[in-house]
Amino acid sequence: MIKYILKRILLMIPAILATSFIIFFAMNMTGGDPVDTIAPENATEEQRDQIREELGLNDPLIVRYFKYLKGMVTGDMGESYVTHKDVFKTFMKHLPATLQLATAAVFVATLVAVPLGIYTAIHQNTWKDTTGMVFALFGVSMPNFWLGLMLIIIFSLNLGILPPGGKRGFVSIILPAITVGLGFAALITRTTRSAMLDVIRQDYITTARAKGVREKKVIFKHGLNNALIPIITVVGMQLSNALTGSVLAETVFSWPGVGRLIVDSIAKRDTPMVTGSIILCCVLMCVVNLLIDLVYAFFDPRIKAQYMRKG
Amino acid sequence: MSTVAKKNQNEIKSRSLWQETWRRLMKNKGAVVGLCFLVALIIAAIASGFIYDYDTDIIQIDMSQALQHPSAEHWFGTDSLGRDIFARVLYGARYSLVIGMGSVAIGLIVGVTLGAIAGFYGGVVDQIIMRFVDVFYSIPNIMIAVVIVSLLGTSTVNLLIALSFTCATSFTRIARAAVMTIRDQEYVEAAYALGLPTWKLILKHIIPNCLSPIIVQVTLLIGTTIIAASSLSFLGIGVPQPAPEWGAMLSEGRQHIRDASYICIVPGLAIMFTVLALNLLGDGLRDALDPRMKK
Amino acid sequence: MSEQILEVKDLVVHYETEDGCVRAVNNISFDIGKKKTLGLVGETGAGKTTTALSILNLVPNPPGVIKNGTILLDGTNILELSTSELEDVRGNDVAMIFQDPMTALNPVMTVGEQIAEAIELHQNATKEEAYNKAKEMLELVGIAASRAGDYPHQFSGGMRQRVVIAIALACSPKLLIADEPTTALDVTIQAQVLDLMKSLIKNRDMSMLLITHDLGVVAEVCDDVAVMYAGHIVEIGTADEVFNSTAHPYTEGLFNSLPNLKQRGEDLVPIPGMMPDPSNLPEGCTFAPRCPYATEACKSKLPELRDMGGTHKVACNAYDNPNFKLKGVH
Repeated sequence: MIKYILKRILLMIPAILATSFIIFFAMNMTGGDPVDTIAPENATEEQRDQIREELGLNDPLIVRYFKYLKGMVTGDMGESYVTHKDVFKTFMKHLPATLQLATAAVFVATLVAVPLGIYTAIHQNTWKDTTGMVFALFGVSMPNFWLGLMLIIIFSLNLGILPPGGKRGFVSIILPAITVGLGFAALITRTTRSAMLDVIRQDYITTARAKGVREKKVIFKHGLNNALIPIITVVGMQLSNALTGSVLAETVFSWPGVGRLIVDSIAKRDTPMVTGSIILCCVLMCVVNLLIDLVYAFFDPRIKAQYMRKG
Repeated sequence: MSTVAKKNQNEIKSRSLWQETWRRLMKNKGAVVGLCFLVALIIAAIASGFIYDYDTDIIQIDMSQALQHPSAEHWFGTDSLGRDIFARVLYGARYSLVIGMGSVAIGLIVGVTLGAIAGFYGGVVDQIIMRFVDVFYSIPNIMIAVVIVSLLGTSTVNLLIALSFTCATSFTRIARAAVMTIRDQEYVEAAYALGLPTWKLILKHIIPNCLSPIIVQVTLLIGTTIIAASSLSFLGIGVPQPAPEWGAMLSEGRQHIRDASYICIVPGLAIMFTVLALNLLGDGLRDALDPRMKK
Repeated sequence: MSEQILEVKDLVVHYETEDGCVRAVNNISFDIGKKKTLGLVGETGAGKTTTALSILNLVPNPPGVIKNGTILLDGTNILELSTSELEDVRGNDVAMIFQDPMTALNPVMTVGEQIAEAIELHQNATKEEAYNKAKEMLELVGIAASRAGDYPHQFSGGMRQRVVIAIALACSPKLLIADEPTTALDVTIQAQVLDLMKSLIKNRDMSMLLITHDLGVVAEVCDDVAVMYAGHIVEIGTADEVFNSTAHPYTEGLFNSLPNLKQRGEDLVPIPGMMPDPSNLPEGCTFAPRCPYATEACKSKLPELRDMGGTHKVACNAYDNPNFKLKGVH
């Protein structure tokens, strides 16, 4: 098992290299002249050249990429053109807010979606099923940021019970988490429903019923445990999406997370900040995906056996 | 079997696959509702070009009319610059539909070509194409689009290009999988042996085989893309102001959410119902094209 | 108390789908005596499994609907029980063994847990007692108790079927329903599993409904035989009666299509044609289109079971003619 994990971690390296390569070249080839961003408006050509020299911008791009990689290993990803702060440290400062929001959103989503998915599957083709699926369909069709705006109108402006933005204590995470979470919930509901429908037609469910197992237990113990793999997959996908994909919710609710850091940096043409943040996000997503794969082994003995063999 | 039943069966067989799909689609209430909504929306979007004059009705500022609440004269009210929201929402359908369909169309052509090449040639070509696709797949779509737009600069065309990138990746995967499964089938080998050129082979034998998943994916992706486009415009890096793109309207309306929350409601509903219609149609198409999947 | 453990009367089961009504079981009746084994024989799609599931009231609904009939288990009508009463009966009074051991076990539970589950439910046992009993059951079916903590994917097909048998027998039910218990196994394993079942049933004074399409298995295990065709019972009687004085053309056809080990030179005589589509059954006798003895009358008249002496009954119009005799099994 440990061998398997180590192997997976090694396999992450080429993926991260590929991503950093693409991002680095894309950002540095077309990002405009960074000196425009840094130098004061009235800088002389000499001053501009000096800045170029200091930042190593005169080297060929490929040389700069390898220098960048060398720095990356030690956690040195350059410093911001705008704030002159260390990129890695700035990213880490924004990360907790994003992790909190992502976790809370996935928590909300799972709490709503898994029971709803099971419920609609048990009542397949009845009005209960239809109602649930229409709800889910609205969920996937709704733009996330608009849902956020609507929640602000209802809960902050009309009812005045929840803050419309910022990050101050527990109450401030409720609306952003619901906003991001309900979007996810729609997808998780659909996955849960189809996984459950698939499972409750299996022979071992009939075996359980023939044993006299109570219907509730048949559904939750025998059914749900077998439907978990696709559900975990989609929950994991949402979790890694939430790491950078909640830019919109972060914008709507002025949530100081990684997504907004990236968008703000793009607006300011802060190339090192953008490059570094996106690469770090990819690393994070690789880690999350690995964790999800390990969770599979916990729920399915067949997958565990597979990992053992491969390890 | 009675002769009547036999005759019926022959008739069913002779009916073409498309007629059969259409018949099943028309039985699906959701899909019919979605289709009707989309047809109406397209007609409205085209008509809005004749009804309204862009310079005077859509973007002309009239501060005397600013922030009027919904009334008989302005059905959905006016925004902070005195522009009629109903007219802008109707006109905005053009942006969403063009961007949605345009980027999916570009993504479709690029993606299917790449996927077919990757699946057909395999080996190194396949490895290179698929590693690229994997990298794009592992970054959330919205981030890719944000980066591309920021590299190319903010404009409607650049938005369209950025979004077509993310569309292309999913088509590449579908096309590659389809090609891989039928590449080694005997009839394909036979056609190859007979000297059919590769591009013809791909066009004649391989594309038709991945048509149904692609049709479904096109419908659903247009919806996703419309949401992505409005999201980017909301962030201020999509369709630039003062164009009445739905996401841009929401971004503008957000400034007045306290005193004129109605500005934020209608454009969002427009996005939601358009995407809902596309999803209903897409789900209906999926069931109609592959009846086995339904149960 | 009656002498019968199971009495099925006038059972009708339909599957109602969008594409029409599938008449899977059409008005069948049969009994199983205490400590007796009834073999239910027929081709795939004859309605055997649906009949078996009806006895546990487990016909998947929708689309399956039990339209009519009574199923008396030791005098109680199964079809009138509430859900919780049914759950008490299932696994405790009646247990079932399924056809495919590869799919009949829950892949994410250990086999020990799966056996213990039934014991815990029906015998007021604690978790630990149930698990210990489960280990005993494993030993009983010839698997080392130490393997109770293993998962189904770690067992072979034959071993899994032994586990399924252990689950079914865990609470010593009065009636065991075995739905083609050996079909999915290798021939050499088939005999082992069959012997195991035979001895366990005998030791525990149980009755069994054995569903199979293998007449060899029937001859070896069953006291009584019912032959099913397109949802009807066409012939029923003791094994001796059905085997030695075969009365229905379909049963005769089944015997003729079997290889005869004693006369290897004999040609096999298959039954021509296919079983009718159960959503579109012909009027009259359902076997008529394939029957070598069929007359015009068979196409319109649905035959009813008639006594042939003893407990032997057959549903065939040909016996309207008192002189009718089958050509005889080769």
